[in-house]
Amino acid sequence: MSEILVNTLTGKTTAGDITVTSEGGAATMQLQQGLAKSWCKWTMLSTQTVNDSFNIASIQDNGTGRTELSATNSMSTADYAIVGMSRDGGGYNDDANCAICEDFTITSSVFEIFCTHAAAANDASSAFVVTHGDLA
Amino acid sequence: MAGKIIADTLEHSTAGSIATNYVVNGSAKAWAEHSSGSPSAIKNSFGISSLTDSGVGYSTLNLQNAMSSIDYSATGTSGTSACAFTTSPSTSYYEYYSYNRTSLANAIDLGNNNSVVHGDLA
Repeated sequence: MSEILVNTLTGKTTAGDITVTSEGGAATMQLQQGLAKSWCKWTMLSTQTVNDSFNIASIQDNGTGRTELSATNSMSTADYAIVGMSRDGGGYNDDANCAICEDFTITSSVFEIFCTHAAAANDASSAFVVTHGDLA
Repeated sequence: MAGKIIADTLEHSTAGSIATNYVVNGSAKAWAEHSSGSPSAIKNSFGISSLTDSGVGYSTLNLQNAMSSIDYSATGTSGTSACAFTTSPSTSYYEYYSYNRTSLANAIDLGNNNSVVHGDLA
């Protein structure tokens, strides 16, 4: 077994490009591109509160079912992938959905999540989000 | 040749350590933000070679590197609506379906669709 003790990984040829070999060995991919750049679990109930997160500086309650999330370190553009889910209700078949607000202007550091229950805006008991993209 | 390190563990001075198989297995193999409809286009992505408009609400995202099997995780979220993945996955593409959240049958094109793929590359 080998172990590397290190605080920072930097590409030698290009600082932001470290190559890793695929599980099957047939391909290589850029390590930085595969890493999630932020994630967050929070509750929308009562005072909106972050339960745990990475690279999320703060959240803001923007109304029923709506949360604005601000990143600690910004992305390079406003175009990045945001994937989320929500949990609500007490039954196994409750209709909960999580979406990206289309009437909110996404920036390199801020986006808004919109949760619904039975097709209506609703404060989710738990909401989850992960972002992938290019950090600035 | 820039150099190559073969290691089983990475350890940070304060943030803990991680086995490198988590780095390889845990990294997203592809992600995309795309619009469907007019225009149907990739806004930003990694590991995606192209996008095909497969009809209202349907987008086929082609992977740059194939997965080792069809058993991989694809997750997504769309703008102010809902999304799902259709039932015919391939090692080289997946199909994203966006619909009005009030009805699975109401396919719609959206400006903001997001997806992430985790699994084993070939």
